[in-house]
Amino acid sequence: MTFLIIILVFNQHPKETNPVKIVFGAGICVYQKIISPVQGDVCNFYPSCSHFAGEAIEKYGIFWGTLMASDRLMRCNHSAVNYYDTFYSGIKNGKVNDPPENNFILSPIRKPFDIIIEKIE
Amino acid sequence: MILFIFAQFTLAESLFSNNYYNLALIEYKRLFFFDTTAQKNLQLRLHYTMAVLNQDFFKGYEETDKLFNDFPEIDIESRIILGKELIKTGNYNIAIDILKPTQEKRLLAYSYLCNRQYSNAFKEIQVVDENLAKEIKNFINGPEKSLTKAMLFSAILPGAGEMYAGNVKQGIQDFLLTSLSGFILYNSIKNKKYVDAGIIFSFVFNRFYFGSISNAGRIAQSHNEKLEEKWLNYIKNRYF
Amino acid sequence: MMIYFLFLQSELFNPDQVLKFADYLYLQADFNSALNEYRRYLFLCDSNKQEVNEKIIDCLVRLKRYDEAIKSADYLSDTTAAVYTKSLIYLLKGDYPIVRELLKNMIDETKSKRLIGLSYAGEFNFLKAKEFIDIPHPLPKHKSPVIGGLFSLFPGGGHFYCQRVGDGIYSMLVITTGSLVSYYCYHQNEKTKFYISLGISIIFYAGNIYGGINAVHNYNYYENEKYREIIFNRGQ
Repeated sequence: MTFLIIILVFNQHPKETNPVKIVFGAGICVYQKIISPVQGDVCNFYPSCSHFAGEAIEKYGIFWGTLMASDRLMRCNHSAVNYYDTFYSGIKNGKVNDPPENNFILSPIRKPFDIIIEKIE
Repeated sequence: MILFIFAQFTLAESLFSNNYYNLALIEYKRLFFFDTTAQKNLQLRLHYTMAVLNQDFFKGYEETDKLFNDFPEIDIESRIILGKELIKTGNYNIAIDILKPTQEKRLLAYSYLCNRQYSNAFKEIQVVDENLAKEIKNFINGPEKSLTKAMLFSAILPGAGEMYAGNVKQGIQDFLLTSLSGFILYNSIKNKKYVDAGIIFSFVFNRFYFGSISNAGRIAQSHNEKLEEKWLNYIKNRYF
Repeated sequence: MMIYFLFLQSELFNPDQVLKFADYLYLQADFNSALNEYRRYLFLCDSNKQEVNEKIIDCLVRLKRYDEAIKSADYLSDTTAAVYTKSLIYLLKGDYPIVRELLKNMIDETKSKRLIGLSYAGEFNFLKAKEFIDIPHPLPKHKSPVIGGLFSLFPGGGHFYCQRVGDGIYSMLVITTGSLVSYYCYHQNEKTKFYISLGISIIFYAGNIYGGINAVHNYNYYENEKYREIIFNRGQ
């Protein structure tokens, strides 16, 4: 079973050498392949919380990735839809769009905006 | 100027007949701009509407509406031509409205089929093609999996609904995980560890059990959609 | 026949007719086709008319093809107008420092002041923007990340501070449940379960503090964005 998990992880990240990241990756992999299909499509966000955790750990490291993932798990509730156009990046694939880049501590973002075009006189 | 308008008309029509819809559109607009009476020519307006339909779904819808407002007594042949174009571009609802006054039962039935209105398609086609009518009737009474039954089976025995809906692997997975969590829950209650039982029930068993029920419904629905798509393609290839 | 046909066509491609048609398409909001017609007009005229170039730039901006619009601005004969137009395009594109760089030699002009002010507003530097343009009072109210962090010491406090009640309640429930479970396991002398539940509670608690501070920054960003939209929509 452990061998299978290691294969699953290395299949996705062949260059990964950090053992803690491998363990976290394995855990997320097991969850996504075995447990997630059984409980159905329950996440309110896109990407789903497990994908978010994987991406956050990969981009920002284990410490920040774990904090971001635990915060995301606590935000994953039905009230998220109320803030889709203020605190989140709109709707994608029928769910509230909240990629890992949308954090203001590690990567402040500046989104483009549309303004009314008026001729300057 | 009349000769120039005629030349522009010829250019626009030839671009349209060669399926250069984007180029034809601009030439039609140019023609309508320089000759305001051209807008009252049914053939021109019909071809312009068809060019717009090929470019943009919503603008095509608006343009068809405008065409029927300007020409309320449009003839049957033009209706059939426009109806075919609407079917080709996926505007089935409008195609149905336009083709209803015509005697083209086959084309109307095809629009109903594409729009998933099988009983209406059956009513139209039974006069014209008995074999197709029989096929539609068989499909309506047909081999679809009931969502309610699938969810009920999963409620009684987790995993059974998924197997009924056609996904045996998922059914076995759901059954194993739900029974495992149920067994752990039962053990906790048996050993009077009610806090553990509460945690297992709220975070584990609950999710797997209700997840299994929703999976059964989802799998049955996707099975029905695939079957419908396959059947429609078969009918389109065989009869149209 | 072909030459005769082309001769007949040439009357409709008289430059004035082309320009009239281009203006008609522009009014119909068919900017793509209007752009092609304006370019056809310039080709037929073999000249560089200021008004037509401005219309081309306008069409490109409405189609959000900013880079092409900037290149087209070089063809404007009036260099001052070219600088202003380029600055406006960079402002719409979101390259605010370039706006100020282009206008640094014309800082005393009213138009320049307006664009420079808007560029500062675009970067959320409203106090600096106030020196160049009139901005609506009051300035957006920000929340302090430090206070947000302190509030987050109470589970869900940071989210409540930012008026996100649902998130606050959920955080509170998760952390409270985890803590109660670890407390119960400690009293039952179940060490393994105690350490696991304590570890999970600590991770969620730390995540709650991170989430609270992030929520405050998020709140401030969106207050700034709403204010910026007001400034830009006022046409100031």
